[in-house]
Amino acid sequence: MFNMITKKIKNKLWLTVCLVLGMAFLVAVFCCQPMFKMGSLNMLIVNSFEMDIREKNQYPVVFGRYGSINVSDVATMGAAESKVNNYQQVWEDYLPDIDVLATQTVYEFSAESSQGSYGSKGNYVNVSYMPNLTDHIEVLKGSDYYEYASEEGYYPCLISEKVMDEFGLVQGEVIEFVNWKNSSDVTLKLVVAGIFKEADRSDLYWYIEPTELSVNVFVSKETYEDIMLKYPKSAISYRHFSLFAYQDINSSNIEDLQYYIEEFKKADTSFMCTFEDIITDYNAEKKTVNVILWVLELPILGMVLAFIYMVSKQIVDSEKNEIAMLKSRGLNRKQIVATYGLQSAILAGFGFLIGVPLGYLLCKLAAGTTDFLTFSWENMWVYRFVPLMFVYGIVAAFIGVCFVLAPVVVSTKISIVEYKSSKNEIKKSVWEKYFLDIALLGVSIYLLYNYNQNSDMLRQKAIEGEKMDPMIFLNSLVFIIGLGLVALRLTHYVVKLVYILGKKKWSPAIYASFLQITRNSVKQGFISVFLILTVALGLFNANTARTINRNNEDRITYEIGSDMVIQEHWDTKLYYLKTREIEYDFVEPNYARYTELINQGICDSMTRVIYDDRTIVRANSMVKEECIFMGVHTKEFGETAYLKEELNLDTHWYTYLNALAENPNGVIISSNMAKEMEVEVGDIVRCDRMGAIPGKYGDVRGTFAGTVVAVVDNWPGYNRYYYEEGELKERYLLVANYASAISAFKITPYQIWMNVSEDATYEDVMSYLDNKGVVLDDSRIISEEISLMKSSPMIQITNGMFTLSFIIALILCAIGFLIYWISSIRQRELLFGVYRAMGMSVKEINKMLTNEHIFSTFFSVLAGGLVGMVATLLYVKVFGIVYLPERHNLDIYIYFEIGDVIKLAVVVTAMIVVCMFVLRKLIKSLNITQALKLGEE
Amino acid sequence: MENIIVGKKITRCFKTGASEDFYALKGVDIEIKKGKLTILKGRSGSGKTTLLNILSALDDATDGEVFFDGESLGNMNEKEKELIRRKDMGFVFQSVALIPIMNAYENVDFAMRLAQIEGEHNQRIEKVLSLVGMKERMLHMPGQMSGGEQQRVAIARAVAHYPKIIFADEPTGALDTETGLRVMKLFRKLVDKEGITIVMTTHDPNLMEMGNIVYEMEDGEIVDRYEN
Repeated sequence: MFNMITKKIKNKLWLTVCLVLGMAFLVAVFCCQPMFKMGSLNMLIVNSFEMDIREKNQYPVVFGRYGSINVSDVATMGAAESKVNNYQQVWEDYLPDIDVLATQTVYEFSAESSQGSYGSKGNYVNVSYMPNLTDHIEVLKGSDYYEYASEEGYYPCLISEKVMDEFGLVQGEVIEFVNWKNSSDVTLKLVVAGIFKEADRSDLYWYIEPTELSVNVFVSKETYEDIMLKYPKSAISYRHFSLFAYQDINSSNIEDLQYYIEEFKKADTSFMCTFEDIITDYNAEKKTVNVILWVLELPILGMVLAFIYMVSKQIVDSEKNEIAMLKSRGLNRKQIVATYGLQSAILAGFGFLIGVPLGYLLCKLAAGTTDFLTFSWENMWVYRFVPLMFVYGIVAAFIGVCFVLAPVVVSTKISIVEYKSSKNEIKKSVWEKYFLDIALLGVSIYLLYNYNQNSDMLRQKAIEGEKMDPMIFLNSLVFIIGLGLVALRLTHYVVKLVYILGKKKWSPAIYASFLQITRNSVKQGFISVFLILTVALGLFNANTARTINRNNEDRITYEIGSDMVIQEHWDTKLYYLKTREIEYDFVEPNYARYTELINQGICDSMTRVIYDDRTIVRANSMVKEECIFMGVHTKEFGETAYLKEELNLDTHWYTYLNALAENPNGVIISSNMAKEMEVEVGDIVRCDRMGAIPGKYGDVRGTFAGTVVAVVDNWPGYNRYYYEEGELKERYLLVANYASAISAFKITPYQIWMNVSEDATYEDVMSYLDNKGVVLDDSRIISEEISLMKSSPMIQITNGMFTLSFIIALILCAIGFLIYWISSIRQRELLFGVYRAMGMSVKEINKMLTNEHIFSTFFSVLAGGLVGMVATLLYVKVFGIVYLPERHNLDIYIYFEIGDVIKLAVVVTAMIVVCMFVLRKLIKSLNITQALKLGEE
Repeated sequence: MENIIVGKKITRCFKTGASEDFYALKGVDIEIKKGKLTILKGRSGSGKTTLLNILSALDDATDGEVFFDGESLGNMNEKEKELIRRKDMGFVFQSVALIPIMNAYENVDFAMRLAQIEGEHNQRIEKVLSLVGMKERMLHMPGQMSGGEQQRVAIARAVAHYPKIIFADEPTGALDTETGLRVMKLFRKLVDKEGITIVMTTHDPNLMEMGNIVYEMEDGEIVDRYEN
């Protein structure tokens, strides 16, 4: 049997190679699934934590405990510390693969009675101890408590800048706790040894920053113990935080982590964890990742399986005679199928060996996709080989074998007599006969109609984070297949029409070729469907990926408004009014440091923008709270901010800026504000800005009255819609001149909007600012947010899978196309012999093939293109609901890139040219008398 | 009687890769008379198909000369030979070599198109199909016909464009005796009534009496010639 198989493989080496290739792709696509999934989920975890850091400005993965220890239970601080550290030890023991990066513990004396109060004003401070404090601070004035030589009876302590400001304490000052005495009735006295700040703002040790420890004065461990023992307190309280390395959390240990968090919570009511919501979100998104990965992989798998079936059918077709003969010689069906089964199992084995590493590479390729057909190799480390790939590979190989055997099973049904009589039969495809194409198209259009009817509901579901409905994707696939088949049916009609119209005039070659196309629809149909679907899916995938990417980018760009928007930390200066009321002023940082960026060529333009989203606007005795106020330098703002071109079609936004520039007291308001407050151009609106420091938030800081000079729908940085707990809400905007804002509200913190020059990046700006010691409260950077968006699993998977399916489709289509044509020429060799014998020249036969190419291949490609475009127009907006469900100022705009069409056209043309070249060679080498002999077999 | 084809000392040698080449024809002299049915008889491997291929300009002789209508095929280029094949010759092959994607009518039409027959084809097509008794089935596809029926359509196709000569390589080879006989009778009819020249090969000794002239071949040589 082995001899027979090796002989068979040798005889059809090229087809066999194609089959192995098909198997390899099947295994590869299948087994890259778990790797890609793991990688995407790991990426999702890392992104979620990093996003959390950006949003909360705090380390995300922290276990903590608030507790107290009875002084009677511990003799020393060492004992107390080891009690606390035991908790961390337990956590670490259960989570051995997640490192603890830092620990912060604050020991305080429990706030009871008035013992903590000092001085005559009754100020209250908390005597505290933090292990290893002196390693993490910079002493600004004085010295640390170990170095300070204090008098007998005075304990040295350290205070933060914040406490210094808050309590007006100075270095050397004594804090006497009048109500806190030892057994000899001596009051507890601390002396301020020094004033400190954190040595490094990014030091994880400071999970709770010194500014938040606003009533704590710190003493050394020894002092703390001394106080604990000599100045009796019943208990000490503590806050403990263990910062775990979020980089160590991945898709394989997150479930354990979640389990142990639940267990810790059950075992210890004081246990707290900062990232449970992230895990919940992860679990929800994990389901979506699963679904989307399968759904987007489905067309690729379908295509590869169709390819395997096609190649196997070509092999079996050419061996039908042999199969029929074997049957007539007494071999039963099972034995024949078993022979082919063994043969395909061997091929599947080779496919598996190539497929698994190929799958690894494909996964890396898909993971590196940052845009459709665009790659970057950052963050590759999260995509790692997983042993599960082998299991997937074996399953895929098995499925592959089934698809190879399918045509064998069919052909073993027929006997040699049936085979001979069926050889020249002209059949219609099943789908054509039973109008399955029309049925598929009908179903998909009906479903599409339903989606469009329910789009608001679907949008809401998506916003609420419900699992994505895979039917939307499958529906588009059904639509493409349905319309593709309808298009093929139509091309058949067109070809028939062209044939009939010129029937009398056609030269023999054209005549024969038209009949070949119209009468050979089953065989030709397969490759035509393959071509149509490849081109249509390619184009559709390209357009979908482009649209999703570009719309995401557009929204980010619109919401931020310019390349970078930063907010420097501003200090406040407090002072008392005569009424003993406290007032404050902002200290403006040196703006010249920024303009230097333009001089250095790092930035092209920049502007100061006062931005406040807590403004109250009044007009026509109506009030709107939490409106956005923007104070802008009109000229600079126009030079720096972006507004998408499509939004400027009716009136360019510079017109509004000009109107504002002409009227110092003018304001531009958003159209929703104008509508709801019944305000028009020329009316006056008043706006109040609120206080900006604790204790002053509720007070009005200043009022400004302006005349409305323009009403706008869109404005850089202004998105009308936002969601609060899944509910759609609207924002209102009021834009005024910068100078008027200053005169109404005095100098208040402003954002700096920057346009980074083409030769520089935002990192250049950041490192410049870092060198200048600028401390930022907030920053938004377009390119950074875009790259973050691109690495989100949904976008990553979409780009990766669409690119992958495009590439695989092209490879398979090119190979399939060549195989089909070469084997079709081989099968028609006798026919060509007859043509040649009857006097047709090689040139005419080439002409015949060219005509076949034009009317079958070219028409199919054209039909595929049309199907792809129609599917884009109908479905991409529906996809938008999945990817960009939130309502936005920017509606989803369909992007279509001519470059994608060119890429597709180049590959398809190259494929046809190579095919024609090979065919011409084959025809040229055809020997008429040899070919005619074929018929005698 | 005038000759349409004259072959002189036709030799056809095939390279075998072995030290000695294989001679399929060894200096054959042959004359094909107009309006006659000439039969090349011989066992398989005797060289009759090779000879037929050379006479019909499908293959070239290694040595010797073939004159078609007085002109040497050896002096013609491929294009000229193609033109002769399309216009002046008709072919019937052993294998049923109808074009499978064309029905009976179209198969005949195709040959006429190749021969660039001007004017209305319809009448002629119907005429030749009724001549072979296939007019009623002219819209049938080859797959829907029996072997004998296909061969009759092939004959109609071979005569439709008024060729000077028809070459038939084992036209009855794939047919049962009775059907084969009917095909032969059809050939006779074409020769007798339409004055068509036919050259055919066969290994069936029962068909010899149907021919006007019979050449018997053995090992690449003509060993006997007789007229009925």
